[in-house]
Formats: sequence, structure tokens, C-alpha cells
Amino acid sequence: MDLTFGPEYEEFRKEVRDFLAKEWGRRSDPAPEDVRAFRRTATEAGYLYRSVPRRYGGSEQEADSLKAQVIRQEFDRVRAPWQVQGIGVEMVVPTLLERGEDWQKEKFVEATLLGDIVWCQGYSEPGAGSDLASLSTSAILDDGEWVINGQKIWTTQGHVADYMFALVRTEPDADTKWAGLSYLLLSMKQPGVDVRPLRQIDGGAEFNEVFLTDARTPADWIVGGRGEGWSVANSTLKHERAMVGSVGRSDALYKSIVRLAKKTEIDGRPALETPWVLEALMVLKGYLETQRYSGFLQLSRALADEPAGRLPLKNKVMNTDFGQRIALLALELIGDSAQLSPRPDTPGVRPGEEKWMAQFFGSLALSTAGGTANIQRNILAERGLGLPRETAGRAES
Amino acid sequence: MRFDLNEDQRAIAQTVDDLLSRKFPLTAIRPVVDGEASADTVFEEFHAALASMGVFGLVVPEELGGAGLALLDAAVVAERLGYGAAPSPLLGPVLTALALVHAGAAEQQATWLPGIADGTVRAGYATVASGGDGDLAGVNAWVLTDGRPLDLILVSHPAGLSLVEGGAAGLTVEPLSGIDRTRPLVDVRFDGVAHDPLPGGAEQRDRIRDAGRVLLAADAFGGGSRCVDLAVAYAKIREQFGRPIGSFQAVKHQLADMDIAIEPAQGLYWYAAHAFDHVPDDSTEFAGLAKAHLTERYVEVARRLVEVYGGFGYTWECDAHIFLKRSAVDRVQLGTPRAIRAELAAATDW
Repeated sequence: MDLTFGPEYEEFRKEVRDFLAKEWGRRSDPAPEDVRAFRRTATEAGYLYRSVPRRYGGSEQEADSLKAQVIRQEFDRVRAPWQVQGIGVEMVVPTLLERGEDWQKEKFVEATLLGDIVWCQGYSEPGAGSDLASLSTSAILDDGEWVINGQKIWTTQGHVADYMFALVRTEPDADTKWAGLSYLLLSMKQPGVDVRPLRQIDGGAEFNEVFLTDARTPADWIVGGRGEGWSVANSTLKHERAMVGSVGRSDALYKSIVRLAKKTEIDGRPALETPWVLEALMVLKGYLETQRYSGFLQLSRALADEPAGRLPLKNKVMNTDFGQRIALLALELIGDSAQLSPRPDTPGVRPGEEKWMAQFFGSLALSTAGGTANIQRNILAERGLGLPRETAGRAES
Repeated sequence: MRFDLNEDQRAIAQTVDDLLSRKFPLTAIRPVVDGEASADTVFEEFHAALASMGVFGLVVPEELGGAGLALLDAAVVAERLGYGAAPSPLLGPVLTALALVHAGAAEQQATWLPGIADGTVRAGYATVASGGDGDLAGVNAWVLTDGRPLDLILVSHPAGLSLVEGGAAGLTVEPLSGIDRTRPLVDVRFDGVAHDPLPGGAEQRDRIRDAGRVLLAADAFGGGSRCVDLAVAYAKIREQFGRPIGSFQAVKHQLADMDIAIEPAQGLYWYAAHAFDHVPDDSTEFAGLAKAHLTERYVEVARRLVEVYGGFGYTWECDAHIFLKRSAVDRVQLGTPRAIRAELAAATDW
């Protein structure tokens, strides 16, 4: 067992620290242009967008999981801006790098890394959720353009996005439902695209329905070939699942619920002197440390070029289960105010504790986004444990 | 960075697995579970097999007949013994050896360690509520055994750690009807028993308990993994409505949840064992976390295993109860999850 990073990496850590001290310091309320400039400098230094080639705006570093960890730890320590968050950087960029044409990479990748363009995902439809491949939005090539008709749903950021990456049916006569799909990019700023917000259970409206009525996109805005959409999309889903599989989020949640417990009183006594609160916190700690050491094992196997077996298939469910356990304890701690909305219903009307009510609702969003937790269990059972498929029709990906 | 077992540790685990699968599969352990006359032979043969592999001497220094290894190595063996529902608790010999190594005088070490290492001295671990300054009087403890009389008892008492020989005056050992027949429980009573204190006992007492918790956590991980494997194997062959029950989503999700409960928690006991030897500041906390979390998960998956088997799971004939009962014992020994968490919470600087 060796849980140290070793002298070479501690030297590297020092280098990152020096960089941050010089370029970032401990700014608390940076202006957007400062953040933008810092990201550029940090990318030039080789700390951000490490897997993206320099010609597309990345820093093109050799893959090194330990360096990546050190950088993340040090950036988090001084709360320096991290890579632009969101579906564009986390899903579109890796997909384009893996499957896109050169001109597509040139046009979209750097602008996405800088946050200049925002993406939304056009996968789910009212009739195609977990059974995504049965989707019916169609695209027909007409005079050098795809003409797209159909409806997409649960479109996060659809109301602000510049572009959509979408799965659409271009080969209606294909042998299987998967072989009929293509992966298209399209502009959201055109008459054929109608975005209507969906009101969420937490009162917010970050996701939408998108109606596509003769929406158009150039013939070459396709990633991969015609009928290859399913495999292109699956490389993206893999990226998304990896994205939610780290312990950083759970660590932050645990710290934050301990802070809540510290300032809470129950029946006139500090919550941290209440046996059931302490028990609940230690139960959570057991799950948290389980995630941490499972992560260390997965990292070690990756470094040694050995398989980690079924562990990677479990990260997402463990992460979302943890978020829900935290949320339920938070509701116990905040007591009566757990009956109030996270945000005011109308101006001046008193809301509840925004952070924890948002966590309560948001933890449910996480267990449905990017494939429901139930689908994750199917995948673990079928691919990991080798159990027979329920229907003959499900595709491997 | 390498948070993983090394080649030697993987080889030790493989050797124990081979012994269990070739010579002591569950069918060979059945006489113990069923309380047949041949149970004693199984206990003896298994003890002899472990002794000849050097398992009892893993943490004993080389110059005293052992392998001079660390707690993690012993815990890896405990995991595989748990997987096989082996008729032997490693707790007694390993904790007694560790106590002698860390708290014993040279003479005590020379007297006992070679015998523990070669298996001729059978040791148990007893925790009593009072005494230790004078004779041990009016106290008792329930001790896990390997089915044969104890030659030596490591007693953890409020004043520290002491050794008591199996035939000591004032000592009585009565069998109990334990649910787990693979590790028979005895009630050890001390009524005015003279004992041999370990000089470093006061300082090492809690550490030895921590080591015990790590071994129980390892057993729980091994046993829990077996429950997952048994459930998955059964779900693939048992057919209803014309297809394997493992093709039904309800069963699939139950199996996936069992797998998620157990497999990722292996690193918890690994790190707890590693901390025992190398990170003293984390040692007590992680031993406790690992034991509380893993034994609770073990009970959870053992119960689910019974459900997957259906009515057959509720029969004595089905192997599920062997693991269910071991999980129940692992949960209670050296502190229930709730008691341990209260202990850890009280020691936490929030």
C-alpha cells in the first residue's frame, strides 16, 4: 500500500501552488474577464483541458491521473476557477475529439472550452426515455441540409443554449432501431426551434421541451456517419458517467452537513450532542470513506493498467445514493422549515433554507439525469454480473 | 500511489482460496454446521491445514517462528476465510500474537509466540468489564473458538492486557448454543484467576481491539462477497415463468444493490489495516468505521441472499443461513455498529 504521491508529484504540487499564488492568490469575487484570463493562463501552463490538443485550445498534456488529482486538489484549495462546467466541455468536446471531423473540432471545441458557446442535449423524447433508441424525431436530407422534425424533452439549458447535439432518426428503414440514428449538431437560434420551459419540482426552470419544426442544419453537421449516432452518443454517455463518479462532491456534501449540524439545535441542545444525529453522521462517513477508497483502488488500477472490474459501474449509483442520504438527514436537521420552498413563491413571502431544500430536490434530479439509477442497476447486473437480459432487444454499447 | 494488494498478498489469498475450494468447500464444512459427530475431525483437520500454511504465524516475528508480516496480510486471509465460511476464527491467534509483539515482555514472547505460530497453542480473545489490577474475579466473556479447548486466553480488561492459561485455577469454560457453529462460542468465567499482565498492555489494549475490528470487517467483506456470488449464481440457474429469475428486473436490481453494498467497501478494511501499522492517527477511526460499515452491509446482503433463494433460503439445507449467522456474529463481536459509531463520534473533533 502506498497512498503517497511520491517526491516527483510533490515537486509538481509545489509548482502548481507557486503558479496559483502568482496567478490567482485568494480572490473572493473575481470579475468574469479575470476568470477568463486566468483559465487561458492556466491552460497555457498545462493545468486545464489536459486531454485537449493545443490546436483546439487545450493544453495537450500526457495523460497522468496523479497530476490531474494534484491539480484539482490545489485549485480547489484556493478556490481557483476550474474548467468551464457543463455538458459542452464534459460531453460535446470529448465526443468531437473522438469522432468529429477536423473542421468540426476547429469550429466548436475552443469556443466551448472558453464558455463562448453553450450546448444542450437533444436525446430524450416524450416517448423515448430509458428506451432511448426508440426515439422518433426525424431528419431528412433536403438540398444540402437536414430538415428536422420532432420533440425533445428534459433539455437542460435549452433556453440559453447556442447549439444542440441531438440524436435523430435519419434511416427509418434500417434493420434495427439503433442503426437508424444519427448524431447531428444544430443551431438553437433559428425559427424552427421552439423552446418552452418546464417547471421543476423545486420551482426552477432549467430544463425545457424543445419543439423542432422544419429546423435546419447543414448536411455536414453530422458527427460520425449516417446511422452511427448510437455509438457516437454512447461514447458521450460514458464521459458523463465518469463525470459524476468522483468523491469530491460527496466530500463537499459531508463537510457541509457537518457544518449544518454544528449550528443546529434540537430541543434546546446542540445537534452534535444528540445521539441519533451522531449515529447518522457516522453512517454517512462509512459510505463516504467507501467511495474514497474505492476511488483510490480504481485510480491505482488505472495507473497499473489493470482492470477495476465492476467498480466503475457503481460510482454513479453510489454518488447519487449518498446525495439522497445527505438530503434526508438535512431535512431532519432543519426541522419545521423543511416544509418551505427553496425559493420565495412570490416576492416577500418567506421561503425555507434554499441550499438544503435544493439539495433535497436536486439529489433526485441527479438520480434521473444521464440515465436513471435503475438503468445503471440494469447495466451493472447485465454487464457486470452477467445476468441475462430481460428482453432480447436491448443493445450493447 | 498504489492502493492495492501486492503480489505476495494476492498469492496468500489465492493459497487460502485453493485450500477452501479444494479441501474445505461448504459440503466439507457441513458436518460442523449440522452438529454431526465428525465435526471435531473437520475442526482438527482445518486447524492443521491452516497451521501448516503458516497462517497463525503471519504476524509473529520471523525469529520466533512466524512470517513477520503486517495486519493487512492477516486481514487478507481473514477475508478469504470469511468467503469460505471457514471453521476457524482468526481473531484469537492473531490478536494474541499482536498483543505479545506490541505489548509483551521478551520472555512472554519467547514462551508463547512459537506455539501460536505453529498452531500448537490455541488462543482466544476475551474482553471483560472489570478487574485487572488484582485477580480477575466475577467477570466473564463470550469467546469465539475453533471448536477445540483454548490453551491460552488474551484478556482485555480495564487495566490493560493479560494472559491466562487454559487450565488456570478459577477459570471455567462453558459451551454456548451459538447460532454460528463454524466458530463456536464459549462462556469464559474468571472467578479469582491469577493472570500474567503484558507490560505494554494499558497502552496497547485499544489498539488490539482495533486490530480485531479490522479482522471482523475483513471477514464481513469476504462473507458478503460470497453472498453476492451465491445469489448471482442461483439467479442464473433457477427458472420460473420459463426463464432464469436473474432476467427479471426486480431480482437484477436486488443483486445489483447487494454488489454495490459490498464490493466497493473492500478498501475500507484495507485502509484500516494499513493505518493500524502505518498511520496511527487514523487507526482507531478506520478500524471502527470499517467494522461498523462492513458488518452492517454483511447482514444486509445475507438477508437478501435468503430472499433470492425464496422458500429454499429458509431451510437448514440451503447454505444461506451459514453466512446469515456469521454476519450476525460479526456484527456483535467487539462492539455493535451503533456502539462503535457512538464511540467514534465522541472521539471526533467536529
